[in-house]
Amino acid sequence: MKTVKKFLRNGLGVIGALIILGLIVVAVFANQIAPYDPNAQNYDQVLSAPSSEHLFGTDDLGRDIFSRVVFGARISIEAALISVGIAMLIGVPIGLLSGYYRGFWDEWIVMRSVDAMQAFPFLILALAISAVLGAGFGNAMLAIGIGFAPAFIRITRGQVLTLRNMEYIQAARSVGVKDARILFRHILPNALNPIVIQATLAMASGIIAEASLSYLGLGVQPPTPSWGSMLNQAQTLLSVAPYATIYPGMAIFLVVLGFNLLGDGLQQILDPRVRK
Amino acid sequence: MTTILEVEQLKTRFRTDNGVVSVVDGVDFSIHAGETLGIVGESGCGKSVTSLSIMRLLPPNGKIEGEIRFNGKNILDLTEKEMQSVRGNEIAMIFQEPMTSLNPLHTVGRQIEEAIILHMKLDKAEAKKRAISLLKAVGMPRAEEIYEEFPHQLSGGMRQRVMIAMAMGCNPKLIIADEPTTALDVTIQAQILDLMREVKEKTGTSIMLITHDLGVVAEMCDRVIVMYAGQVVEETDVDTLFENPKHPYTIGLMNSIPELDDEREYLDTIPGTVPLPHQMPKGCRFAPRCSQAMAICHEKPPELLQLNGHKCRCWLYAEEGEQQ
Amino acid sequence: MMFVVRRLLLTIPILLLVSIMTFSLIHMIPGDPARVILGQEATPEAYQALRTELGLDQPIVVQYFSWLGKVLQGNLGISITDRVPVSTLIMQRLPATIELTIGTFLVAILIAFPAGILAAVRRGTWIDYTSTFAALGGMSIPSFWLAMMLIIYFAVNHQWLPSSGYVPFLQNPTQNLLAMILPCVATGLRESAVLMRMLRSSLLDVVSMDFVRTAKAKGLNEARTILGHALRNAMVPVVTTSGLMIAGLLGGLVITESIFSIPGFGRLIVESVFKRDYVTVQGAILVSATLVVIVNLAVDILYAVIDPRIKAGKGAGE
Repeated sequence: MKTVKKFLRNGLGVIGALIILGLIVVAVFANQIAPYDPNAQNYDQVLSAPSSEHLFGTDDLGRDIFSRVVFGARISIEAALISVGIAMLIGVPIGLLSGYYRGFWDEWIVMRSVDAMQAFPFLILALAISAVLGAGFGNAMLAIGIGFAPAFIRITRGQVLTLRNMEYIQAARSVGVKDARILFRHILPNALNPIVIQATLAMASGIIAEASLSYLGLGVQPPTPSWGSMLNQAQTLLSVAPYATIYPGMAIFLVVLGFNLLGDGLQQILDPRVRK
Repeated sequence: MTTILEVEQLKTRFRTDNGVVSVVDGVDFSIHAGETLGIVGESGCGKSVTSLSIMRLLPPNGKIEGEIRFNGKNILDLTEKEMQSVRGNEIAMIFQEPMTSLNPLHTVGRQIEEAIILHMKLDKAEAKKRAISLLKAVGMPRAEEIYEEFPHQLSGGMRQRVMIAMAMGCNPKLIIADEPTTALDVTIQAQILDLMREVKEKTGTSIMLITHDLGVVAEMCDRVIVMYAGQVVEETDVDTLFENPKHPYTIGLMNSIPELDDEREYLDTIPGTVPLPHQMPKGCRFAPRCSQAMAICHEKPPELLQLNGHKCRCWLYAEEGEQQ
Repeated sequence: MMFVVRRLLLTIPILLLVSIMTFSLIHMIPGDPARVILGQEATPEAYQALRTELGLDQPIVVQYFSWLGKVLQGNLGISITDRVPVSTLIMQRLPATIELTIGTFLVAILIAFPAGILAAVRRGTWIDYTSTFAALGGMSIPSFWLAMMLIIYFAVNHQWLPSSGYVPFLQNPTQNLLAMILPCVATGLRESAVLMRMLRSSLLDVVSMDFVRTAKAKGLNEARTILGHALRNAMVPVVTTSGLMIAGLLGGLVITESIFSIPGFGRLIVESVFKRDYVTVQGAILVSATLVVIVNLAVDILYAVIDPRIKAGKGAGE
């Protein structure tokens, strides 16, 4: 309760949470909110400027940009959840085991691999992986997830290293509690805060990464409406239809800002190292 | 004797999450030229805040009221820029932690020279000469080499000597030393105290020495102020204080010093702790911990009484105070 | 010296793992790489030739070591589509990317330093809030969208600056610099936001330290206290961040170079990806990861210059 109160006092964090809530609502009720079918082409209405009929205008195939932005929220939220989910599924268990058992594997295999992975520029790695696996949303998610995993390994392992030396963990071990129980009942719950913060901030990066890959043509494939691929298609229209660029980009910006604000707010409440 | 520092009704408050708290509450004292004044008390009694108030180096949420006259001028009226020409020049300060009070990334020489170049307007070569002679004056061996070294290459005692050399840089009229020996080993403590006494005798500077250690007071000071919970509770010269301590708090402090021929099995301690600034007792602030507390002590705060040049804030001496 | 040697030795296993990961990439292609690269309609002769060229006939360990041997001699293979050595392709593309990186850092530093210092010094005032919020905003803008917005405003609506038309600096310095302004601002703005936040929090940690109070007690004014004493101490974590930024930056340039048609290293990767030129992709990502490792090594050695305690082996945080 106290944490909730503290969070509410953190104005920017609350704004972030509200933005994300808005995103979820738009994604869930996309069918009700969007006035047109996002893929319906209307050749009488090609590249019309924003008007009361088409709030954000239409693109070069006469599709309603507002409806496409609304449906793009679905892809965006899926991208955030799936990519970070994959990263956590890989990173958290490896970090837990590596930090708990230490030794050669931890020091020379896991941590050096993390170093090596982090040497690859993230977007280049994601680009290369999705190039190899083939273009498409699922592969893009896998590529981004793998790219994020090292950060989760690092942060989980760091937490385990400090926690495993705590007295109550030592006490549990000394009375013969099994390793698995110590890891999942005692260490993981206490290591959760920084992981949650990292996950929130990673979702911001995940959305940008998905948009970037889609923009390059490697993520979501047409005609599915995604903000990144909309920007890709709008690129050739910069001089004739700037609105085709402005609105999808604004949507990405707003949602990413939401996750960043929320992550920042959570950090200020949950992380004792960060001062007010 | 000329008075160089007069503090009158000093009140220092801080804005905090729990409202405004008053850490120093109506403190008066003065320091004469060439004199060493000791300020004694437990941690949390407001001694360090008093010294930072004089330097006007409080964090931004701190507010100072009252008057602090240095050479007859109220330094609370000075602009920040005028105050900068006082700091390090006329009033210098030595801090408690020699380990962290020096910049780890600058050489010892550069840190000593900085104030000299700033205030005495010497050029680099002259400043270097002066810095090296100061290092020699504080008893540093190989002064020329140490001039080029970094703080992490020096021991704690050596770093405190550097701090003293730094404080002496511009021949200040007053040096404020805030627990200068607390962080040091006992043998080094004695050396640093000797050095400070020597500095005072050579240069005639006044020293305001803040400490919780009555042993240091006995060795160094001419006059003593005992502070408790943001107020002065006793003030007298050092001999009187040890021969005839009046305030129960002072007596308590003295009984908690171990002595060489001590036959007591346990040291006497003062029960309880200093009250928090936002939870001050209604009457005498020491009453809850005082073994001689009377009914009135819990009701009404005592005044600082004048008893023949000996000041004391205690109801036990109320009658004696009235007679005089 | 010991510190530098130890740090150098530590990079060897990392580079080795980088090479293994890069090598494995081509083997992650589902099915037969040669078939995927050439497509179904390739002749059996062409197919066999490519398998031999890629060494796919040999056991995988042999393949790796013969590849590594060539890489160590500077031979990154021959581009499948262009039939030119990959190293030549990369060398042609690097100058533009290096120029872009320097420009981006300049933009980032020019914005981040004044803003970060001001925000820390005037902590809790509107200056602080505005710049902190602006930084969060800056971190949230996708740089490729910002690039498009800049093009719309500066190139399309006003024609103040070109949106493309890169020429090498030595060929036409004026045109080169004009063409570089928008790309550098587009990527630099985001990096400046990251750097500014880092600098602010690092400075806030430092200004509450004892030695800063000592500096004030000497009579130094605020500017000299901050610039002369606090800033250098605050630089250690900031330098680390800038080192780590290089990796993100190289990734971000992939997109910036595509938007502004700059024939750089990142665009080479994108082009090669679409041409299924995996040999070039492999060579290029190996080079980019190696660059990052080298930059981070340089950054760590730079610490020793900033902080004399590291030379003594005491570590930065005492």
